[in-house]
Amino acid sequence: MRHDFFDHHRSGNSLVHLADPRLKFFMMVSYILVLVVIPQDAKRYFIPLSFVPVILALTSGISFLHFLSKLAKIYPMIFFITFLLPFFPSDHEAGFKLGIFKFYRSGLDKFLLINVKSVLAVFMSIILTTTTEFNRLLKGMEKFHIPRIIILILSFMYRFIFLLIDEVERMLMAYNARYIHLPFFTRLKVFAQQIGVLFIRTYERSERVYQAMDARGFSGKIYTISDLNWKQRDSLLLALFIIILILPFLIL
Amino acid sequence: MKKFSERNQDKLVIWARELSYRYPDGTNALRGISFEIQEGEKVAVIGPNGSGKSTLLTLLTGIRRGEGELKIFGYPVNKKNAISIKKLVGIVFQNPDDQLFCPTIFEDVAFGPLNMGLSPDEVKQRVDEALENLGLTGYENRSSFHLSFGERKIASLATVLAMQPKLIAMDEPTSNLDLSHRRKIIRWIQKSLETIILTTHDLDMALETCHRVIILNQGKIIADGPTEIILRDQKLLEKNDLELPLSLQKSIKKTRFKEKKEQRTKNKKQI
Repeated sequence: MRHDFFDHHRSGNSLVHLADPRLKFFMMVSYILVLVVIPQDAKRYFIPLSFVPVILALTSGISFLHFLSKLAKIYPMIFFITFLLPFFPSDHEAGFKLGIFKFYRSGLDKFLLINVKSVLAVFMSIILTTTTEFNRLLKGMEKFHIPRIIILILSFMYRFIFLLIDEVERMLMAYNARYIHLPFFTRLKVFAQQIGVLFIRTYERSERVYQAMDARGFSGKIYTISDLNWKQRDSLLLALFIIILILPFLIL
Repeated sequence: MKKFSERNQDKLVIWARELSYRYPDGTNALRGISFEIQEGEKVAVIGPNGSGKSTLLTLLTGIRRGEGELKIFGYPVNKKNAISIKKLVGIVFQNPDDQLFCPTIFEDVAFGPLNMGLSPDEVKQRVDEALENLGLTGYENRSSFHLSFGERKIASLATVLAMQPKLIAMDEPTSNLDLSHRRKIIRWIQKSLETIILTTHDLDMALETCHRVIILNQGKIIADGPTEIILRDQKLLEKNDLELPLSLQKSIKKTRFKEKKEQRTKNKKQI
């Protein structure tokens, strides 16, 4: 089965698509680090910094709605981690009432700060992953001395997640072909059994994959070939990015 | 048991004596089989499901260790010779998804040569040659999950060819393939100069590609001889839950019909 939903925006000709994956990875990590270190009382920097992912998204040529739809899927997680913060005071703070709820300014500030930082960080990550082929992203990450074992695990995860999806689809097809009507708890039992079978099949597959790796000389050490080529435009983009990142702190 | 009459010891690729293997659950997959394969031979191992065909291939590559004696190119199959044997033997698994585990075809095909310690330039050359050999030039940056089953099967063969093994073991190379990819694999086997041992249910493919056939049943070698003789022996095949290759069924029926007609004519004349 073909699974294009992970990859269909990754091949493009925009400046963002063509940028070296090392550059994009550096941009993402440094942007997130800058967001993290901005203190609570320095909110004025967020507005200029928020232009960075917006400009990159617009330059990529990919529909803004695509980024927003991905953000919308992840945002609930951010919200649920932070939604209780406005209800907790700090140090004898008098709160304000809104209907039946009592909010505290400090909690609300923390809620907004974490949400804004998280949304911007996630937005930047989405741009990176949407415009970079996964294998090239892994090669870029490898250059930053991220342990090879982690790169290998990510690479396997990416490769086999599609097989897992295929396996689940086939199991569901078989289930639906024989399903008439079952009580809820029986269905739950069948579902649990399917998970168990899936786990066993995945385990057996991992054994066979290891045998295939062993047969091709794998001895625990991981070797790769890098075909990344740093270009002049990547240097220019890097310089531009650093300037845009630092400028708010110099001007404001 | 049918055997070839003589062997040239110097050119033995596989030498097996009383080879047995028992799975942890107690199943005896192989029961004391003995055979030899010479350089350049193409041998098909056929038999019903559960006869021990796939187990035999895993023993040849050292993935599993059985009892008895087994030598590959003169090297006893043991831990000490594991690395040497892996460089000489390539195994193509039945399910290509077990063999393609890298993000791109290039990386999958390069995996073996990289583990052999070759330089990046040599690896690139090997990958290009292997892909060109199998008509997969241009597939380097594609991910295997975007390929059809047939393409993945051929790509999995490329992953082994890039290591330039002297012996290629193939487990059901044409299973689940459409006719076009099946034909590609058959043509490749016919052209290749390496020693090949393959397991298959596709007896027509065995007839087209292999000089010799070994029938395995319940872990024992029932017959071992020229393809043309064994695959025409209907009684022997049926006794081992096999049947004549489809391409021979019609011609054998015609021959039998002709023989019966001649016999009737002869009988009429006698009367």
